[in-house]
Amino acid sequence: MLRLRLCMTTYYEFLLMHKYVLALLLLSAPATAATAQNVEFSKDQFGNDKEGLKTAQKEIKLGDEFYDLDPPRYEQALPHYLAAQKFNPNNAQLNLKIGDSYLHSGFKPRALEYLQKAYQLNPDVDPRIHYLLGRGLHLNAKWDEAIAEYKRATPAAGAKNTAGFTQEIQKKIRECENGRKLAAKPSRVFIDNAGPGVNSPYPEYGPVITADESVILFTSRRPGSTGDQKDPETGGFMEDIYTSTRTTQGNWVGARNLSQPVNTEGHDATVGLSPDGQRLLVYLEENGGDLNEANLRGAEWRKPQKLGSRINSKAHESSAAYTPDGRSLYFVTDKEGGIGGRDIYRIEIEGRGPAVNLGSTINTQYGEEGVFLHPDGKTMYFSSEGHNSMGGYDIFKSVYQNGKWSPPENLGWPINTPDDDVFFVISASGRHGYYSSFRDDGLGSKDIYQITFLGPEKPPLLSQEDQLLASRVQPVKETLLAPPVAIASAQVTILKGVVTDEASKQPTEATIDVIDNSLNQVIASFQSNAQSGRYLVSLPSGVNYGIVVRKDGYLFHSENFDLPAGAAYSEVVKDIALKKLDVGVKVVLNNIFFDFDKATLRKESTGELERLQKLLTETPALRLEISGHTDNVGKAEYNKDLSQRRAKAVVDYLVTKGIDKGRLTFAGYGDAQPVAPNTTKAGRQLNRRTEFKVTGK
Amino acid sequence: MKKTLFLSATLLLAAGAARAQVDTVRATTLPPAQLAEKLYNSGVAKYNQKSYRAALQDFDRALAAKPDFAKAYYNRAAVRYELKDYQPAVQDYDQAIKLDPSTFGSYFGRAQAREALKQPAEAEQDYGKATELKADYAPAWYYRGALRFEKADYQAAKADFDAAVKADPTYAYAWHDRGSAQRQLNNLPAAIQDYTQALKLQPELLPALLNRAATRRRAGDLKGALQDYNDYLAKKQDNALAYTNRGSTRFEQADYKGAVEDFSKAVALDASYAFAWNNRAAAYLKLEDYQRAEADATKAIALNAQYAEAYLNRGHAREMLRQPDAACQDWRKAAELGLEIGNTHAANSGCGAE
Repeated sequence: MLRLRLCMTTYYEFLLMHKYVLALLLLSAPATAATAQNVEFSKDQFGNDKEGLKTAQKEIKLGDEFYDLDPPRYEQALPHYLAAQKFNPNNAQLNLKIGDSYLHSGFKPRALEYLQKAYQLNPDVDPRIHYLLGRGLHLNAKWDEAIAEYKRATPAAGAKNTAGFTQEIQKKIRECENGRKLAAKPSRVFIDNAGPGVNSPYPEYGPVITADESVILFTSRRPGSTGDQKDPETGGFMEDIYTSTRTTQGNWVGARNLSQPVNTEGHDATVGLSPDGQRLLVYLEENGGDLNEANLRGAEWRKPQKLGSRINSKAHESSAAYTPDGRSLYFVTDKEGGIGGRDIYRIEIEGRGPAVNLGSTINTQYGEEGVFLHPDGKTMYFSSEGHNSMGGYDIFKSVYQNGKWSPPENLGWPINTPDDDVFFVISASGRHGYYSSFRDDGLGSKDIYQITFLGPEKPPLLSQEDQLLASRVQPVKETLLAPPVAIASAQVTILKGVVTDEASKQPTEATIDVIDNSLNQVIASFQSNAQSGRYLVSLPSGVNYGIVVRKDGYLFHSENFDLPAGAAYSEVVKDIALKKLDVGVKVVLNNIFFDFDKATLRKESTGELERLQKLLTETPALRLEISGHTDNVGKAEYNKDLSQRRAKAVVDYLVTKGIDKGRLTFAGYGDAQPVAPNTTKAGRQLNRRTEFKVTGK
Repeated sequence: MKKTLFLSATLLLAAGAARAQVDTVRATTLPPAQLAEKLYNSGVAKYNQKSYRAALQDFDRALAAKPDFAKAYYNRAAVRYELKDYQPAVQDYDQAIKLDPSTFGSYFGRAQAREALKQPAEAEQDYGKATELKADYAPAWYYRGALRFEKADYQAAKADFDAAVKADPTYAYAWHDRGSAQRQLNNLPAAIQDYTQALKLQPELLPALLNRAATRRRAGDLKGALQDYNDYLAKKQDNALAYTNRGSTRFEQADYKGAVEDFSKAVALDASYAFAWNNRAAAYLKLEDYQRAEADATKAIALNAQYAEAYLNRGHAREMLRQPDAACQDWRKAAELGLEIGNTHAANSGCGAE
C-alpha cells in the first residue's frame, strides 16, 4: 500500500506517537482547568442516565485503544469517539481527540469544528491546541486565521527540537501565504466525481489513463478483492487494480477487476500506464516498495515483472511514468543521494547508465511524488511538498525546453488544496485530468475525480455604437477588437487505429515504427494489440514523422505526419490494412519527398527508400513498378512528365544501391489514377503520391 | 425620441442654411407688370408660409409663362424637396443649373435631393461643386464631410470638416463631426477637444457628451467617461444607447453590478435593443450568473440572428452551464459570422473536429 508519509516524521507526529506519555502527564495534572462549559463524563453530570454514561465511557475507552496505539489508528478511533460525542458533545478532551483524529483522516477539514469547540470549552485543553487549530484552519483554507494560530503555537515544554518546530511552523505559514495568493486567482476547472463506473463507497485512487482517455486503470479497496483479504493494519480491503472504459458520451463504465496475475492477495496499486495502454506500472510492497511492469497481450495482462535494480533499490520506489517513446522512465525514490525526501529521477530503461536526479529546479528538500509525463514528451506533472505548495503535496507542472525544466507552476486552487494532492494524470488533449480526493460529493471515502480544464478565461464581448454624426440619426457600430486569448492546446498528435489483415479483415499484431524522417532514425516502436489490433502512438509536435507498420509476410505500410513545432493537439484515427505480397498489390510510399515541382529526392526520403531496398533484397523474385501520381492542378502533359521523372528518380536510386534494373519499371500517370476526389485540398494531397505495384514475385 | 431631435435639428439647419436660397429680395426688384415674376413671388411667399402645394402651383405657372426662368426652377425644386418629390426636384435643379451654372445653391440643393434619393456618390460630387463655387459656404463642406465619413474615408472627411469650421467657426455640428473623424483616425485627444468645442458652442448638443464619453473611455479615462455619461443621463433619461454605453464603461471598471443596472434600464426603455441584452449577458458572465447570461444572449440573438458577439457570449455561458456541445455550436457560429476567435475557443475547449 502506497503511503505518502512513510518516511517523514514531523515534529508533531513525533509528539503524537508519544501521545500516550503525554496523556499520562495530562491525567496526573490536577483537573482544575475545566471551565464552566466543559462537561465531564461523570456521575455528577449524568446521574440520571447511568446506562448512557456507561456506554459513552465504553466508547471512549474503545476509541482510546486505537488512538493510543503506536502508530495511532485515528480512523478506527473516530466512530467510537463520535458515538460518545452524541451523548455528551461538551467535553473538551473528547472534542480535541475527535479533531485530532479527523486531522489524520481522509476528511481533515472536519477537524476544525471540534478543535474550536475543545478550545472554547477549555483554552488549556492541550498544549498543542494552537498548532492543531492552525492545522484545522489551514486545512479549511482559512489562511489568515491559520497563520494567526500558527504564530501562537509553541513547542511543548521540555521539547528538545525547538529549531525543528520553528522551521515547521514557518513552513506552514508560508504554505498559508501561498494558499491565500493562489486561492485569490482560482484555476478555471470543473472537478467532477468520475462516477459509479469507477468509484465505490470504498477508497479509489491512483488513476492512470491512455493518452486518448479511452481506458482508465485505478486502485480500489473495495470488497471482492483478489484473495478477499483485509489489511490487518487498517481493517480495509487489500488494494486491487481495476479498469473501466469511457463511452462516447464521456462516462466511465464497467469497472472490472484486473484479476490475477496482476492482482495478488496483497496490495496491488496502479502507478503508471503507457500512452497506448499496453504497459502498466504496478507498485508492490516488496523490498521497501518497488516498481513492476505488466504487459497487455491481447486481452490478457501478463504477470508483473520487476523493473531491475537500476530502478528498484531497497529504498521506496513509489511512482513512475513512461516517456511517450516508451524508452525512458521518470520515477520517484527516496534512496540516498537525493536532494531531500523523495525525488524524481529519469532513466533509460534499456540503457546501462544510472538514474539521473532531475535536479533542484524540480526536486526540493521536501517530498516529490506522483510523476506523470504528458504524451507531448516535454510537460511533466508531479506533486511536491516544496515550491509554493499551499499545504501537503500540491500538483505542479513543468516544461522541458531548451535543455532545462521550467520553474514548476502550481496548478492552483481548487485543484490543489491544503491537503495532499497527488497522482495526477492528464489526457493528451490537455482537456481532462484525473486524480483522487476526499470530497463531500464523493461516493464514500476517497474517490477518483475528473478535472476539466477550461483554459484561460474567455472574455465576453460587448457591443457599442454611437451617433457619430450630428446630422445623422443612425448610430455607427464601433468595432471593439476582441482581446487575444492564449492557445491552451497541447502540442501533440495522437495517432490511433486498428491494424488488420486486408484479406481476412481480422485485427492483427504488427510493429509500428515511429521514425524521425530528417534524422532517418527510429524513435520508438510499438505493437498493436494482438486481439483488438488497436494501436496508439503519441507524436510530439516539431518532427516530420514517418510511421511504418510492418509484419512478417506483409508489405510495409507507411504514413507521414509532418508536425511543425507548435502544431496544436489533434487526434487522428487511421485504420491500417496490411497487404500480403501478391502480384497487383499497390502500396503508397508516403515518406518519399521531392523538391517542389522537381524530381529531386529530398533527404527525408532516405528511410523509405532504404525500406524499399530492403524489401527487394529480402525478396529476390520481387518485381515492382514504381509510379508517380499528381493531382489535377496544372496541365495534364506537364503532370504526366513530372510524375514519370519522379518515379524514375526512385528507380535510379534503387539501381545505384545494387538492385537489378530488370526488376524495376517506372511510370508516370499524372492525374489519371486519382485515389480521392480532386475537389478538396485533402483529396489532392492524397492524389500526389509515389507508389509501387507488385508486378512479379 | 432622439430620432425626432436629430431630424428637427437637421431641418432647422437645412432651413437656416440651404433653403435660405429661396429669396424674395430680388423678386421685389422686378418690374411689376411681369406675370411670371409675380407668380414667382407669390410662390416664394407661400413657400415661406409652408403652403407647399400652393407654392408648387405658382412656380408651375411662372415657368409656363417663362420657361427659361432659372430661379423658378430652383425654387420649385426646393418646394418639391419639401414635398419629398426628390426625383422631380433633381430634374428642376438640372434645369436651373443648365440655365445658370454659376449658382452654387443649385448644386447644393441637388446634392441634398440626391442624398435623399440615396445617391451618395452623386451628392458628394454636387457638394464638391458647391464648395468650388462658394468656398466660404460651410454647410457644403460639412455635408460632403459627412458623406465621406460614411464611406469611412475619415481623412478626407476631416479635411472637409476643417474647411467647414474655418468657414464658420460657430458651426457646432462641424466641430462635433470633426471630433468623430478624429476619433475614427484614433486622434483621441483631438477628438475630445472638438467635442468639447461643439458643446461650448451648443450646450444642448447632447450627443457630443456621449461621444466625448466614448472617446474618453477609449483613451483609458474611464472616470471622465463616466462623468460625461452621468451628465448626459442627468438631462435625458430616455436613451437606451446612453445607458448601454455607460453600462459598458462600468463593465470596464469591473463594476459588473452597476453595469447590469444600466443595461437593465436600457432594455426597459427599448426591449428591442439587442446590444443592451448582449452586454448584460457579458456582465452576468462576469458575475458568474450563467443562467441569466445565457437567457440574455439568447434574447439578443432572437433580435438579431446574425449577432456574432451574442453567440460568442452565449457559448461562454453554456460552457459554464455544462452544455459543451451547445457551447461549441455557438462559438463556431460566432466564427462563421466573422469572429474568428470563436474557433480558438472551440479548439481550446476540446470541441473536436468540425
